[in-house]
Amino acid sequence: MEDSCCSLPISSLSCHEDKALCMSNEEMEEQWLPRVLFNSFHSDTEEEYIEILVSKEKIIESRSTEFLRCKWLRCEAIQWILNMKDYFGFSSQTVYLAVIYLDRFLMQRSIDNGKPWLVQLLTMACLSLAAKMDEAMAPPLVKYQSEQCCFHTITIRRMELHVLSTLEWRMNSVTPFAYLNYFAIKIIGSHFSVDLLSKSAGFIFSILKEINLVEFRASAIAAAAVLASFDDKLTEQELALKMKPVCNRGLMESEHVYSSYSLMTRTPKKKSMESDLLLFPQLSKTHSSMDSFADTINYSSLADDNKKRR
Amino acid sequence: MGDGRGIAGGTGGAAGGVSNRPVWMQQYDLMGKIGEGTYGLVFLAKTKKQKSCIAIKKFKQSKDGDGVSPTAIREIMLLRELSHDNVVKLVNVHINHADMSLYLAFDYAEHDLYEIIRHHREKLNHSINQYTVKSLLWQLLNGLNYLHSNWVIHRDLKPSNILVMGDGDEQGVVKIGDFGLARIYQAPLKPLSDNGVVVTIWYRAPELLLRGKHYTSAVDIWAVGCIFAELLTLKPLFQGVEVKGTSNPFQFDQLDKIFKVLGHPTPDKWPTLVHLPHWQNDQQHIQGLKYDNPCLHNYVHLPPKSPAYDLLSKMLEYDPRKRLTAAQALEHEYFRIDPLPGRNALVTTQPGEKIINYPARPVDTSTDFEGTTSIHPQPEMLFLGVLQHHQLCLPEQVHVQFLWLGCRGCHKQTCQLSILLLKLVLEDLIQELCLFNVVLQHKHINSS
Repeated sequence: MEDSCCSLPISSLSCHEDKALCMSNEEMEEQWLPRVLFNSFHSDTEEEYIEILVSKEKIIESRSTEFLRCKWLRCEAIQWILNMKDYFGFSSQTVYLAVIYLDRFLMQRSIDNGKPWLVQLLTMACLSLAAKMDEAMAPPLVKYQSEQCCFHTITIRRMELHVLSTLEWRMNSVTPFAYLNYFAIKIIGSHFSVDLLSKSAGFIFSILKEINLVEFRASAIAAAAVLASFDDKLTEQELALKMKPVCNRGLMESEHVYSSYSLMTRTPKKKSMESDLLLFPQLSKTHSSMDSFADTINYSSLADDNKKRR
Repeated sequence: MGDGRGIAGGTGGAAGGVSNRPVWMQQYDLMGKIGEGTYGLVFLAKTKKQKSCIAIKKFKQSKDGDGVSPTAIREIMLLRELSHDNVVKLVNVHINHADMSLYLAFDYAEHDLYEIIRHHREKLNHSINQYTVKSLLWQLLNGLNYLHSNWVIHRDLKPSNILVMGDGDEQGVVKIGDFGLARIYQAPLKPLSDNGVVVTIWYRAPELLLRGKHYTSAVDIWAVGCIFAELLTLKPLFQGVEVKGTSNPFQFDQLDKIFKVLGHPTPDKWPTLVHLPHWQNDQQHIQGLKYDNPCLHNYVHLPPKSPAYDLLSKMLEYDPRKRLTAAQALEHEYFRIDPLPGRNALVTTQPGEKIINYPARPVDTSTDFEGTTSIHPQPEMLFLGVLQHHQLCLPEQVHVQFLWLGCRGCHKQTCQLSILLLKLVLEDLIQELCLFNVVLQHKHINSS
């Protein structure tokens, strides 16, 4: 039941190449470094800012089994996001936002196991939205595509809208990267090295694939990452002691921090699971089976878009 | 919020011309277009249930290849989080699934400072009364204080974005509107000009004109200072001629206008000045220019010792770090002396003073929700003109129905109809005409 008077505008699909990421070197560097949150203007209100951020964190005990059901697909999705980060030079914040969107979406909607392409499309939409929120210049949709893995830009746009309304347009989720600088100063002292921040970012990414982000506080993950890059052999008591300057203010509880910390610091398992996974780009080969679904969501128009394309 | 339906959504409604509209659109009666900008179009509509007025902002379709526009995402995201008496209220977000366009529904405000100031300057030829100026400023600062304490910088405050409610419970209440350029602190910023957005430079803070890299909330206070002065004098304080160019060109004339009024800035008074790119490069030799002593009080006709002047000059402080914050401004003596600011800025306080009836926003009824404008005069006008010329008359009901169609925004249909009806009238086929009328009514019932 399409609105016949408003036909889909499919006139200008290509020709965005020259409007790609045009960043100066300086800007590029800024993107790579973890962004230091405050300039000198704000230092006196930093505590207040951190409190506001913590109050805006929402954790939800997800009863949805979607996360577990989709876990292998989700790992693939996150890997693809990380690859795109390298390709476009996205900030860590953008990556994290994309994964939060993904998890928040999966908490509310289910995706049929037989439709891995849908996860792929969803991932693309989430990353594109995250880039629009966080990057000064978000790449045009065609840029996300590769030979094996491509959707009509209209399809991606439709999915973007679907994600936006499912997340009720609440797109400014708090990420751990907003806290790194603050915790580094509070826990280690102002003499910390820039290296520590990038190490912390590494720790945060190391657990992305294993946890459902909606169940963890961004602040706890940030604190755990700072501690892990400072010392990866802390006991729970030692960690609680280190956390004192922060926990005293009632900002967070050290148990939450410890659970993330232990995930980050335990010896990484062999990547046995990942070798079984399908490679992300190949997923698109299942596109042809898409006509037959009667899903929780009405995906028919997505399918329509793709049909028009073929 | 949002339609909460699936992606396809379905457009619903009965088949046929008028009802071929998405379900969400059918909850409104479209009155017409009230605004247009680079962002898109704004319409006035009434909800069918409560008959309350709603402003519906339609985002301009971004290029297909770009997906949903970042501006739209950020504006909606921000507005979803904000709730304050002096901030415009987003009532709903509608997605037109067929063409994937976005519509934002806001509570409608009949007036804005641009129109109020213009009315005084061009029609009334007298200044705005003190109580009104103070109340407008007070409420504007309250809204801004709320935004800033929620880490939101507006970045585009100007008289046309400061709305004032018309008749009703909230009469005379200020609403800060248009968050298209607003940002949460620390969000990445493109230079304003790179957004392809036309932002007037008259309210732009000097640190931005000199290409400072860091936006702080102080840029909004500068704009409020400029607006305050404009409320007092009815003309823009710094009316610089904009240099057009692709990537944030140097706005010499704007700075020149500011320096003429406020004097030349010095690193003495503004230490970080020397780090600002345009000051540093000094390609246009602004460092060496000579200006007379500051004379702001002459421009705004205020005694230098008055509280109003004191507040104004502190909002127009060069150094953003020394500029008043919204919270500080609200504490200023100006707001504690008579006349005290009030919630309804448009009432009169002095006995014998006439209530000013500010004109209602002009509504362009020739544009439909899709934004299609009739290039020719409205078809019904053309139609009636021809009728008059031929001294013909039309059964009243046909006419009413016809207008109804036009106002529901089906331009194409109205054009076709006008031709058809004309033919019928000219050929004196009154019976057919009446038949036609029945069909129209039938469609009407189906669609509502």
